[in-house]
Amino acid sequence: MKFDLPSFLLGYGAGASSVLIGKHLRPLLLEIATAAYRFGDALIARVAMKQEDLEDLLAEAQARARGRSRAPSPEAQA
Amino acid sequence: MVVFFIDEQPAPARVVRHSVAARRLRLEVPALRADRFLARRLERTARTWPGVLETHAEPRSGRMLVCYAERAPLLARLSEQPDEAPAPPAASAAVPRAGPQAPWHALAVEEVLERLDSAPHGLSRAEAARRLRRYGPNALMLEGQRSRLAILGEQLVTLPMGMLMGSAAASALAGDRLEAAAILAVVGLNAGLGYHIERRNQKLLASWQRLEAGMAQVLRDGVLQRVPAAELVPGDVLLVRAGDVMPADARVLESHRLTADEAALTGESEPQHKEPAAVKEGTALAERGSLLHSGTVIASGHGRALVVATGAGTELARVRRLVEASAPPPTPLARRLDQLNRRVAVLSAGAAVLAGAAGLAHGRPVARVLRSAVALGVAALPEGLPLVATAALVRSMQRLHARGLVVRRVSSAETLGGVTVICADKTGTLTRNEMRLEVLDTGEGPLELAGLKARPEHVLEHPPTLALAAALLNSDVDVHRNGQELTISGSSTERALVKAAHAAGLDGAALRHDFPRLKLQERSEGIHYVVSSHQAPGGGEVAFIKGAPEQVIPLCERGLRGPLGARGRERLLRRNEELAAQGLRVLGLAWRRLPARGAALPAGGYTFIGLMGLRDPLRPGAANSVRLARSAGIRTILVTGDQQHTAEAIAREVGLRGEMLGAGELAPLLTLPREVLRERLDRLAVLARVTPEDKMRLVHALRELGEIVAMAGDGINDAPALKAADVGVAVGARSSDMARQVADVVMAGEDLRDIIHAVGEGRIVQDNLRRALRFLFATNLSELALVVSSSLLGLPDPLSPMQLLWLNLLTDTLPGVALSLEPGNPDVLDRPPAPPDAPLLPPPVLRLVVRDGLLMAGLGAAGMALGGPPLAFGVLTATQIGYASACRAAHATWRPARGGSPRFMMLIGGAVALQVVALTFPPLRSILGLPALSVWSVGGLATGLVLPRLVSGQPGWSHRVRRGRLCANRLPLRPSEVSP
Repeated sequence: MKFDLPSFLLGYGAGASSVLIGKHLRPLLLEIATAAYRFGDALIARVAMKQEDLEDLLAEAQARARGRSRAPSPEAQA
Repeated sequence: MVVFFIDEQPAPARVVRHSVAARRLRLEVPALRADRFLARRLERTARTWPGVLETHAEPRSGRMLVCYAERAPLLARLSEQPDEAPAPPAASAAVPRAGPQAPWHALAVEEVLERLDSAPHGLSRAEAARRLRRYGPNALMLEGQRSRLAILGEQLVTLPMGMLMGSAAASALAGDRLEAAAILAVVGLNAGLGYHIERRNQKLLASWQRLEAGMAQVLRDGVLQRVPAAELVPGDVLLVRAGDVMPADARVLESHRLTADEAALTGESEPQHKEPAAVKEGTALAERGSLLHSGTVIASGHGRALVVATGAGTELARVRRLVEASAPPPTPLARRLDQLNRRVAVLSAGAAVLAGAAGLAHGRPVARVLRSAVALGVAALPEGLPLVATAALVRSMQRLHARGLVVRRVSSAETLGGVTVICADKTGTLTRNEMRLEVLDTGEGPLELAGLKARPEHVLEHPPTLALAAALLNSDVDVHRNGQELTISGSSTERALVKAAHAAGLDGAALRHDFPRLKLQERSEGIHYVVSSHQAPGGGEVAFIKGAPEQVIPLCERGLRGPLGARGRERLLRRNEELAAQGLRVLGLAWRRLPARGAALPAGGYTFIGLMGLRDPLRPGAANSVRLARSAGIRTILVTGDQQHTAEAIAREVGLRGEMLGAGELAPLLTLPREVLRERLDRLAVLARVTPEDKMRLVHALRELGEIVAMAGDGINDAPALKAADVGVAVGARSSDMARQVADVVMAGEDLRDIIHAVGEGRIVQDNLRRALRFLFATNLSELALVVSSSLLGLPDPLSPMQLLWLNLLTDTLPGVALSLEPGNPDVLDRPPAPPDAPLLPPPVLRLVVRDGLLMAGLGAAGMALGGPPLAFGVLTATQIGYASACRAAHATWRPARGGSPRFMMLIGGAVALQVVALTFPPLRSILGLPALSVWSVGGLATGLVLPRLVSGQPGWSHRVRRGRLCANRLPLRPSEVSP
């Protein structure tokens, strides 16, 4: 492989700077990663909820369409 | 509602949906989210419910499905619960609530006890626990911190950053990936710099927001207990004694020589006597003798007090709320840079539209038009500006740090330079907040205290020794000797007396041993003196009186030289008035031998010993700092919570002349029309007996009139004004935590002249920034003019975006930094401050910027005509580097002054070296699109470096210029030149 000085300098600079500023960057990266996880979890939860809502809707519709007897209307909280 | 019990802890579940026909319940269980094991447990639990057919708990959504049979009437009756409002943040759950409110200082002790449903022996433990749940912990809420992400986001969401990111996107669209990456690197660099500075400031803030977990002695179930201060509740009975820091606001139930040092809260320099007697409802905070306030210190005595307010209900919390409610004003630098940025953005957008239209009119392809737009965006923006501004401010911060001043808000270093009014607190700021014996007059004129030597073997025979011994023996202080160090606790007045006695050579312990105290009659209603009786060394007993001279002198029959008589007493009373008029706190001293052992303390027949005058002395350099401020065109206003006569005496001492306003006089003044208000505030020199709100209102009023206000203070009562001011300066290492938290600058030392030196540093920053801005804008204008004119004329682009970035980031930034680090003019404090509304680039400088920018563009165009785009780049870069020397202060030379720093030359040399590398180093040359080195390139570099210096008329060899000419030549810093 041909030695390319600019690429070498860029790579070396990137490595050296990541070592030098890594200590200061870690908390920021941690926060960014936490925010990313939170976003991911919230997205997964939202998708799961929508899926469940759809299941509930279809189940209720099916029950009504097939004439399942109605339960007593909700009156009080248990 | 359904409630699960998980490990015996209730976990409420909400019915999200009830599909009645399908007999399906969807329950939301917050604890279920992301917990698979709990999901399985809940499923097993729910299956045991009667009539349940199927369950499925889903950890992803935190919800659980329950399908039930027809024979499950209990489940069938559950109804859906609406979405709840978003839960408040967790932190607010522990927010303390204010307890019962009442004018506690004006109510009798019995009524206070009744209203708080308490008793002199305190609350029961159960009741205290109940109240703790009801009112919350006795703690102040902390201000929320911005997250790292939010700080980083703020750096990116600015107009110049948006333009740069837009340029990067356009570059990427045009297929120039290297350019796009370089522009994004610039965005990252600037954002990283801003983030680093903001984050460091935030860390400083956080380190000051520590909770003090003190302990308090309270009566619970009638038994004395030590409990954490955070667990105090309204109704608790506290035991307080000298040295205690009050953990809550409390009503005095019982006092024994109880005084509290409230200087931090009220500005009152003298410890205030605290008694159970109620005071009038409208009494000022500083005069509420029946209340002890949170954050103040018990100076002497001991007593019992009923907690009436904790946490958010205390006076301390009220001041803190005031602080939190007022947002710190944007600094003039931030305001002006913002204004400048907007104008540059408009100019850049206008130029891009013009060049784009011209390009399309010339029938150029869209990609090329896009490239030109990117080049314009990059050319117009001074990318190196944040670095240059930061360098100037950080240099100033370092120099101030060396003088013991810590700058918390970076831009405050520049704001200091524009200060037009300094509002200075008195106690602890202009004065030391430490009483000192200044005058001892035994009836024959004041004695020289510095050379005073006591004679411990002749206490009753030597008048000065007798005076000091009487003051010491009559005082109620604790003296501890730790090696050479003497620790004295008690009221500041008595501490000063005891210190003076020790300084004169009296040993307190030996004296107390020789004169053991027998009785002590304290101050009481209408009696403003203390009498103590002691056993005398030669047998018999003696009594000493110390107190208000107007009450002590009438009790005296004799002076130290013989009978006093009515005229003698009158003479002493006149002397007392003279001393009081000098702002001294005066005490009269007298003594007598007692007729028989154990006799009652007589109310007359005393021998007058002398008058003692005490004062809270000025801090070093206080008077000088006021004079220095005046000569720098800055007005000083003394703002204090202390008494009017004390404030007046201090103002006289420091040389402040003008009108004095007292309590309640500020509010009506602020309702006056603007011009009248300006006239009255211009005459104002002293504002006495004011509350923290008044201090803040004064600062607001001054700022609204266009002044740049610095507030110097140290107490809790100064905190709102410190935050409201353009620059808040917390004075002294002993300043309160709250003052340090909100101040922009914290002084570790006590020399007030440092504030004026800081103003000088600020002015140097302003001068340097103006020079650097002149340089950056002129060079950017030259690039803009060259790119736009080529585009209009249909010529090839003279500079690529990469070359422009190279110019703006490296070869321009280094000279810019060099200009921002100049040492400054020696006469910086001999001139008035620049008008607060003066722009960063006033019209005369703006004209220079346009002229110089066009000249440089002309040189670049000449290069373009002679050698094409590569020579245009070479000539323009060299011209810009050479132009830096034309922007220097008139007195500056290429050669560093004797003892001066060669920094300017080094940085300019660095820029030249970088340009040489760009012209000679092949990889860099290929990135910048430059051909191999030629005679033209070297010639262009040399011409560019020398020409601006010759054109500007400042030959490098003239390194001595007379100071008179200097001031006349100086760039636009005189107000007459910069006023609109």
